[in-house]
Amino acid sequence: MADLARLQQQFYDRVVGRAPGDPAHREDDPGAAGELIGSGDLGIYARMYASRLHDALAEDHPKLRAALGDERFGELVVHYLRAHPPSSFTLRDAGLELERFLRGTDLAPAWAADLAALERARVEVFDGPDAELLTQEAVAALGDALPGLVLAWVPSSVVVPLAWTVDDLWSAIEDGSPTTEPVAEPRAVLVWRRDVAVLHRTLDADEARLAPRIAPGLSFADACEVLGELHGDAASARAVELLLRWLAAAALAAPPTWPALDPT
Amino acid sequence: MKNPVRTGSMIAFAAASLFAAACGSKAPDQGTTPAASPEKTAAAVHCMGINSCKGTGSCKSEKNGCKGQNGCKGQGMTDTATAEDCTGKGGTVAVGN
Repeated sequence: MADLARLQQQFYDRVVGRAPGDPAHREDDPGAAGELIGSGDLGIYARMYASRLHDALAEDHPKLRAALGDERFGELVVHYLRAHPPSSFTLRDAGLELERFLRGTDLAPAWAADLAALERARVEVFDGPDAELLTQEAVAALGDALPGLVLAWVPSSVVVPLAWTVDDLWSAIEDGSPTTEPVAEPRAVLVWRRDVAVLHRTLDADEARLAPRIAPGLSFADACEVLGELHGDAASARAVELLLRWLAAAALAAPPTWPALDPT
Repeated sequence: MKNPVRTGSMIAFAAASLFAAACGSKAPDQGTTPAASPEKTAAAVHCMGINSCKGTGSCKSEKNGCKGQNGCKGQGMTDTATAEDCTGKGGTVAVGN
């Protein structure tokens, strides 16, 4: 290995905390013998590296940090980064594996993974693409062609299935209200972006059933079919109620193709 | 056995009429089911021009969607707790806060 490459490797190992003897340390590299970095305090870079990663994760997961407390969150980050060292050039991706890590560790409560998933969804949605919105006026203009309308959430949206009531915990922390330990209760949350505001809302039972199918696109008639099974004669009114709710929330995207209007 | 497509379409046609009626009234009937849970958003102030685009979160702007491009240093948006935090770091509070 050329000296420059060895120097860079040794510098990297020092900064990320890999010492000689660490399995990740490149002892097997026949050209790695001999330290090229003989003096100088690299500890400041190592401390800054860990600190920046901690800050990035804390910024993306403010409610998880608040729920666990600074000390516990800090310990969690140390263990997480040891298990999932960053591999992307951007710190945005540093927390990509946090939810999965939390599902397999006893360092945090069982509900912590759900809270991390909700917060991660909010990050993803903020950076997602813009879209033309489906408006109430456009839907009204369809008239009897409405059954053929394809409903789809805006592309900057995620349906997050939860096993714990971490949405309530998120709200309590945000509002500065007393918090309670999340309890096991399946629910679904829609996270979406409206202009530059990221919002989320806990879905009711009908919405939770429809939401995953709306994500890839679902015709209004098919949505009505689902509601028909649930509500019988009241399905039409319920369909209108939900459609108006989603339109008001700016949560639906204009379809790539519009259903043909009846010329009569 | 019912035809699911036909059933769904029939419900949808009826809904189309209801939708037209609802849109024509000043106060659309929101039904008798419980109201939707409220939308939740963070109370942070959107602040333009202070982020160094470490890539975490809020750096979307007209110039850069920050889709992992890490190229919006000083151009994008990040969140601060208050307007004072934003301006104190040399940023400007985004319209729409």
